[in-house]
Amino acid sequence: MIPELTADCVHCGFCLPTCPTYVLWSEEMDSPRGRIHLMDARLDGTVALNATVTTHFDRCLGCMACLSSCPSGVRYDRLIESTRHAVEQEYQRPAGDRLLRGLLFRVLPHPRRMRAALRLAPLGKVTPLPKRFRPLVEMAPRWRGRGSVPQLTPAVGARRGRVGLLTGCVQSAVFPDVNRATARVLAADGLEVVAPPQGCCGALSVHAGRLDEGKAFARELIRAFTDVDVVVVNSSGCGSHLKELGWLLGDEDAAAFSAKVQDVGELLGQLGPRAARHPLPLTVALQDSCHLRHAQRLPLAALPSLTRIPGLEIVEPAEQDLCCGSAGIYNIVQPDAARSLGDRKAAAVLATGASAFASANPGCLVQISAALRRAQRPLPALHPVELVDASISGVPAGRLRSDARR
Amino acid sequence: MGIDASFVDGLRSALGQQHVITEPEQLRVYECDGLTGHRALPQLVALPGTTEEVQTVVRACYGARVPFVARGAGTGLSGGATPMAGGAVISLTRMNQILEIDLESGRIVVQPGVANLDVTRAVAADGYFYAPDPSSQQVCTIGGNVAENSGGAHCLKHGFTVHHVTGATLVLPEGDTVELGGKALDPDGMDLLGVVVGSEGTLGIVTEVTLRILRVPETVRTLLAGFETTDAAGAAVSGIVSTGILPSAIEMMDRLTIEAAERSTAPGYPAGAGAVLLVELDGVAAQVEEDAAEVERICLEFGAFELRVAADEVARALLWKGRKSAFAAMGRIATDYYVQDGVVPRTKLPEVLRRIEELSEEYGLRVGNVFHAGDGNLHPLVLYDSGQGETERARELAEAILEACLEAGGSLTGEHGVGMDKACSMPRMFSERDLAVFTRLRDAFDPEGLCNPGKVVPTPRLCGEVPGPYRAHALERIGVAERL
Amino acid sequence: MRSRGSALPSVSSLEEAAAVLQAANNEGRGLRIGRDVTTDGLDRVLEHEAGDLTCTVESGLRLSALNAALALEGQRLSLDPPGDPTIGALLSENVSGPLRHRFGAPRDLVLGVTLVLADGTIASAGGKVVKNVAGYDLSRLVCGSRGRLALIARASFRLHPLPQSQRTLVVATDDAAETVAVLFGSRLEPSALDVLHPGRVAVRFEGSETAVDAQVATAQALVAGNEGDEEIWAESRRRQQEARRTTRFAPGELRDILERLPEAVVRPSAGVAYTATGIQPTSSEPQSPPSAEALHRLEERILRAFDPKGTLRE
Repeated sequence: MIPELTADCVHCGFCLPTCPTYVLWSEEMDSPRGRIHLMDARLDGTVALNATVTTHFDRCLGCMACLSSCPSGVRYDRLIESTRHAVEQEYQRPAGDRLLRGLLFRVLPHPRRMRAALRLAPLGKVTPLPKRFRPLVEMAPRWRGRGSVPQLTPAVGARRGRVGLLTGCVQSAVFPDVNRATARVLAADGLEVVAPPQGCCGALSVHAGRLDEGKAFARELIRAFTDVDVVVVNSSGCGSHLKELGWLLGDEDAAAFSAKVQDVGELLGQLGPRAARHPLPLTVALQDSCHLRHAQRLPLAALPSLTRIPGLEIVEPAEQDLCCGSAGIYNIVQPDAARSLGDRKAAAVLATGASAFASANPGCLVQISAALRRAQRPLPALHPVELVDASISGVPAGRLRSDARR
Repeated sequence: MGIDASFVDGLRSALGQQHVITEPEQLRVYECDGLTGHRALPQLVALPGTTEEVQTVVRACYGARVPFVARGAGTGLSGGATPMAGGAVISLTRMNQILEIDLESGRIVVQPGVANLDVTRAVAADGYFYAPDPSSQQVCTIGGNVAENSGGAHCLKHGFTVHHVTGATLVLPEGDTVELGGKALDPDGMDLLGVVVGSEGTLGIVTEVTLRILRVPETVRTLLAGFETTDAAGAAVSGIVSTGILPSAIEMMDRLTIEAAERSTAPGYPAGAGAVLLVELDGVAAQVEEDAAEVERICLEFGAFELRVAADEVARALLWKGRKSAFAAMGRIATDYYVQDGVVPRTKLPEVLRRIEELSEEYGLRVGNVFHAGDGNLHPLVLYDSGQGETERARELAEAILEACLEAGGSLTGEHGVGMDKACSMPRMFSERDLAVFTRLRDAFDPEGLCNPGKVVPTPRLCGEVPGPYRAHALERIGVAERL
Repeated sequence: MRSRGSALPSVSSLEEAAAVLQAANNEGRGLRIGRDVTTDGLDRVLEHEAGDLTCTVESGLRLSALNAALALEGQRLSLDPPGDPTIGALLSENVSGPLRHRFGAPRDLVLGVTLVLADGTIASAGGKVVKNVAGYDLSRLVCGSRGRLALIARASFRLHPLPQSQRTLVVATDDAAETVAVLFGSRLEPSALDVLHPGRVAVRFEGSETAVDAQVATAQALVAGNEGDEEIWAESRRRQQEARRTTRFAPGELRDILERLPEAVVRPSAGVAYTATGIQPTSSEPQSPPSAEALHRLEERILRAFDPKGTLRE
């Protein structure tokens, strides 16, 4: 599969200025074109998958900005996914690296373990940890998510449809409030929302090259969602992955499932509003997550639903196309690059003068919050759907800000 | 001599450990630029951050007799940044700062690694722009533009890179630095800046560039005309040019490229058109309006069956979208393509386009035409399938097209440069004497022949001892019959 | 070889030029082009591709004669230097006039050249089409070389149509820098803009009649001024020719330059001031000595490459 995909690259270089690692280091091997060149060289057997080559694949954030900038339609997303799989299969990582990655995947996809880990995180600050593990502590959010979303939220008024909500693993552990807000908003606008018991969707695993693990998660997930018109996702990294399942699993069930997946912003944009929106006088910087903007090709997907809120002013930070450095487990395994990008994004958010920021991906919320804390200027971190929820419920802007996580 | 451990250590201590690359896998990605047909593995890549660091690298190379090539974003289409096997690549991508914006002088001073479009972005809010706009402008660097004397769609009115560079800091092949020009124009003495711009990185490495920036024009008018045939469209181009109207751009696409563009970006060009012309006028409103009316009249006179005028910026972007994506879009109707870059006198456009059609039939390969018609700069895209063993035939067809351009009194490259790709074709346009004088100039700058060797001027090693078919230069051919 | 009533040898073909230069070169005799040997006999318009707005001419042709020939087809070479130089002199001095503002100097309009080197080598560079990047651009290199690199025998140029209409506006002002700043800040497209310091700014607009009228009206609304005529441009060229010193400056420093000079003809967009007095204004762009030295060495090396025996003199 890969040779045809790499052959699509005509080496024009249009991807270079849009690639975060090229922006940071200006080196060809840390650009999409350079990585594709290495994939090609690996395929023709002239380059082995050794530590040097792996480093450059590892440094890729998988932000997919290059998908947006490529005029030839190269499927870099599929290329990097299968390359990462090959890395996991063929390359023996150093012991410390293996340990960290193994630990991450024993915790992240499991909300209960995740909650426990978050409770333990503060201990990390007083316990001497190996350098490799310190980002875990630094990234751990300060807030506590509580509760969970009901299995069934009935539509308010006449039912316009029935949607299934992906509750997510990290999302349900760190941002259960976002799930509840999503269910409330959709119900208020006339949808019946079901949240069946479910596990991790497999996005984190697939994006890290743990293909078999990720596929198993995904197959499990598909079985959890039956009898819904739409599978609504409020975590854009998961959304990108789920929209690709048809290709990844290569069967009709998966394709049918993928066709039903929608981001919550995308869905709200198409769905005419039913519930009244109350004024929410607030200026919010809307940071587009890469998986919405580039992978799903849905730039500013939340905007239509946000512009319906009276009094709400949405501003865009500069360098909207550039990744914030969150990128799944990237900020844990590539902390230096992630920190540079996070600081850059935090500066861009602060430069807008907004009094809060919003992003449709839990990873971005965690990452940018951490960067704002480093800059000692924390801001309320909100999912766009929480703004819609606040507007429908008539929460005053002041209270929304003061209650918000930062 | 050559690159050894002490050479590498010396550069590492001057530039920093991470800015000198020697791992074979990492070197691989520097083996070619935008023209992937030519590849060679360098032995070292240096990423200097200042003029002084560039000097350090160049001096080291000179001292050890290591050939070197400067590289920007690596988007060139003539192999101008192809390394010498075992040589050094000096990547200027880290030197990407805008050093000074002097609006009062209409100048901007930049490092060579700044992307072309970033120059305009830096001054757009103040109502200025940087005129040369190669289609790779969001990625190609000013350093590369200076090396290639890059053009772009809008150079018809506004000129090429050479018309917009007013000063440069040049590190000579032996490591000395010279300042050429400045913010003022026309310095005393021979025009060194004029010959350095477009010298394809063979006369030194530019590390700082002063550019002219222009006021954004009062009015821009973009029109699209659909024609039955390329012949008719070509005649309309000649018609427009000869009236003396100077549009900022006149672009043409033929049936094949329209088809590709429709499949890729669906710009919605006139259905059934055998060719479309995209004409853009800019300047003071009164003049633009008058010229636009005249352009419309000429297009209709030469048989345009549909005319559209972009009413706003959105409509304008849509008209340009198909044009700008045309090269890449070709990938959707063919497995492989080769972009040729030839120039013909504008009066000969219809004639040469017909000749290309004949050649296409003769060789049994499709040729798409998408090009800067206003200045006669053709970009025939030869479509082929390397899997079907058509590579050699495609190469021959591309050569034959070039020959047709030269027959018509044109040039073998309008903007992509000679580089590695066309060095051996140079004898088709220049006599041995002409080339010998080029070599004299080059030797004056680079006595050891270390600065981007193998480019621009043919060498026996590269091209064999057999000289090309002799042809006197176009300027010398003129008037010869009369004199005899 | 024709001599046209003077004692100077005047060459009338490429081959003759090559022979004259080669002879001097072999004999170790210095030669000043335009003085010891003239190109008066090389005075033909070899080609005028009106439809392509290009021409190829021999270098002994006077600019006035070329423009008279081009005018028959409604075209011109958009250069208006003082005097009436031959094409060869025009290039080797790289001299321009008020039209420099819009159309550039000779180095901006030349497309190709045929040169005769001191050893008799005949070589061409560039081409006769408006766009071309093949080979080194020797046609630009020889611009400003003052006859020391080679004898320029032929040149091709990019042409422009003669404007349908042209009008000049003269602004009398104590603050020429301000007037210029206002005009530069506007979206007007003048073809010439000179400061006749002290006291006047001259602006010329060319194009269709309605467009020129519109531009003049806009300019007058911005900076006032009265209708002028050719006389002011003649004055500008005359003062340029009589100037004893040329000062170059960053265009943004116009105010400074005007304050330092008692009188001058200034072409602000080019950053050039021509002064009759020999006053030495401080250069706005001083060169660091090592760089100036390296530049001098480079120029010497290029001269030696083209003319190893130093036959061609200024």
